[in-house]
Amino acid sequence: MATLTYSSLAEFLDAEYHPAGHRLGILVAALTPPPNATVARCGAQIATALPSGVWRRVVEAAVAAIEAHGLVAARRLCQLQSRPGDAQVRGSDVVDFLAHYGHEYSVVLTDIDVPEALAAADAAGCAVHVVTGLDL
Amino acid sequence: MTSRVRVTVDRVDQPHCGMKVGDSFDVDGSNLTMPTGSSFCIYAMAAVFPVLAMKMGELDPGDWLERKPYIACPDPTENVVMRLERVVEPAV
Repeated sequence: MATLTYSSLAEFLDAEYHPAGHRLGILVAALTPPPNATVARCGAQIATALPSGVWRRVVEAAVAAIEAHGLVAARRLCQLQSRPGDAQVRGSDVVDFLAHYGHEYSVVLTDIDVPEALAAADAAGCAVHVVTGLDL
Repeated sequence: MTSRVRVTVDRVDQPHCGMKVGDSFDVDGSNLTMPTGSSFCIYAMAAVFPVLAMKMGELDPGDWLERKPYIACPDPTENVVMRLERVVEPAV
């Protein structure tokens, strides 16, 4: 896993995001806790969560990539949300989402370094990039 | 031509209404049948009803209901997800 720079993220999306047929989407699945979450609520997993500002830039890059293909980001960008009451997205929910809907996505951007989630993305035919940081 | 459609619970996170994965009901025309002794949340049913007629008919393979035949109950905490599929075997 490499630390992404903004330009390398754009390059990754240029190389991997080729929407065609029904495979039009980009999935952003981040552990990032909501603004009011505390370290205590988030537990040990917060150590792997990236600052929300990083994900804002990731989402901006995904939106730009989608719009560059003439598509509407509101329809083609999915930001997976945590379950009500949970501070973070569960790896199992990423797996479940990809098993049901992964065939309609071409790229997954995530910081959830769970082998099952990465395997699910691969099985769904999605290019996946684990974001470990963003050097802006 | 219309088909009988089976609605099966595919996922439940926090079942407050007694639903469990595998619970199902069939709809054939205007008739609804369920396995003997089973129950099904009426609010989950209500979420499915608007698209049942579509699923009973013939759809293009690219139709969203063919590609993603899943409907969620409106309660976000329960997260009951139901799968719709056409069936040919005898009614339950």
